[in-house]
Amino acid sequence: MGGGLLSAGLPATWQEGALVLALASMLFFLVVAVSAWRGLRLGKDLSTGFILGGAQLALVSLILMALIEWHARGSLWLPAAALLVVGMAAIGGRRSAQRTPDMPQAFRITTSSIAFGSVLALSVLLLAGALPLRPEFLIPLAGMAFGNSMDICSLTMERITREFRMNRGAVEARLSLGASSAQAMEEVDRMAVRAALIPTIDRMKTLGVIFIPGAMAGLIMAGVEPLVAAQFQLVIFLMIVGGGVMTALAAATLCRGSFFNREHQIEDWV
Amino acid sequence: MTAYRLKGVAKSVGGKEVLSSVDFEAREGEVTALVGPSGSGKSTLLRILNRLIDPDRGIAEYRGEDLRLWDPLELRREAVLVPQEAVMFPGSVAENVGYAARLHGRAGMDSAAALQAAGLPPSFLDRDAERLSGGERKRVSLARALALAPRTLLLDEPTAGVDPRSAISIEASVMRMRDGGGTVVWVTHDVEQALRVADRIANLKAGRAGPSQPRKDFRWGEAF
Repeated sequence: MGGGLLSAGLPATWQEGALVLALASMLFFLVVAVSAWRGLRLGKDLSTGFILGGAQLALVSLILMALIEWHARGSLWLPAAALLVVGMAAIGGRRSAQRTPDMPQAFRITTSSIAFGSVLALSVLLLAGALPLRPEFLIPLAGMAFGNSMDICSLTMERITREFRMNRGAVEARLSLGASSAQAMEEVDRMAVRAALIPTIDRMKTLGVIFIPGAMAGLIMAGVEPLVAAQFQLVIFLMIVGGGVMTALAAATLCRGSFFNREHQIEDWV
Repeated sequence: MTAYRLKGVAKSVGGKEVLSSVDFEAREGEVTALVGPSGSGKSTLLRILNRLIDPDRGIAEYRGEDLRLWDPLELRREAVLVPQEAVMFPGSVAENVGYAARLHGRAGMDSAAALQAAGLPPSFLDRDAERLSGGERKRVSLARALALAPRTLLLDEPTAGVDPRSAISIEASVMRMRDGGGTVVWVTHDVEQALRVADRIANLKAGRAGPSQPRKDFRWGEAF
């Protein structure tokens, strides 16, 4: 057998896609059945996740299709794409801020940091000409940049608060010697930013060894030469790491405004 | 001349009133001991003197000027607080003692001299600060402050939890600073130590304190 229903390759129409999805859903029902059999009580969460995730993907696909069409017709697609990007930053910021619910201004910090890091990384690659300014590139790549920046931002926020509380004595000892809040936080910032970036850096170190990342896998399945797919995957990883580093640094810097007042005194909530 | 003058100072921390009405005075060139039992608000008062926190009510002045008008960073370089917990920064003793000098781009005192002034030989400079004993940490913490050549030293239980030899060494270091014209506010729960080192003593009890008085006028019965 050539392997699979569509021996010619990927589904070409949404109807073919729906058929493939329906067949693949057997795996989902198998997992739900096993979960029920073993009493894991994951059925509801799995179903909600699958339906919600599917609906969100369908929605973003429809938006992307509209943007691609506008672009093809020469219409103004960029303002709509920018609006979508702002929405991504706000949703990512909200999720990330939930990690530190007691921190004042957490939503403002996370949203600004995620937007700053992701937009900066995307802009550098677009301005350098490494990526074309087209919706089929911009929206999926923005999704990757924002998604990763959100994870890194969440880790930074959680870690910096924990490190601050654990090292409060050292921070105060530095303040007592006349250090500014920024100087007193240098060590805490460094530990939090490094810890937040470790998973991403580890993933980069194991690229191609333990897993083939999604974009590269997708490109290969779409018929792109594996070497070219690998090169493009590295461009994406540079965007993810670059955006992540900038997001973590921005979050650490902005957190200072919540930890300290203008008199370089520690706020009561910490 | 008066270094610190506090009148009716009150401060709540985490919704709990720690200081309710404190009158306090410390004169320049003297050691003023602040005695009181644990939880009486001594450390909170010391943190107000360094502007790590500000009072909620009352008058607080340093060298004749409202504390809140002092730039906090400038004040903290001039009136340095040595916290009760001697936290070491990562790195060598030299890096710890030279920390403030690196921050401010100037050294008030050479690191070796500051270390000696705190009662430790210069051979300690290369040691890993985080591997020192409790008494050694206390002295490095003191040296870190002395390296700034501060006008005023605010000490929070500088000899608590250290061996008697280290305690004597720390007391001697502070006395030398006072003899050189420095001002010291020394928080302690040890009344005997206060009577040994202080020129004036203030008694803090349940968040209230009256004015400090000369050592000779202080009575054991008044303690706590």
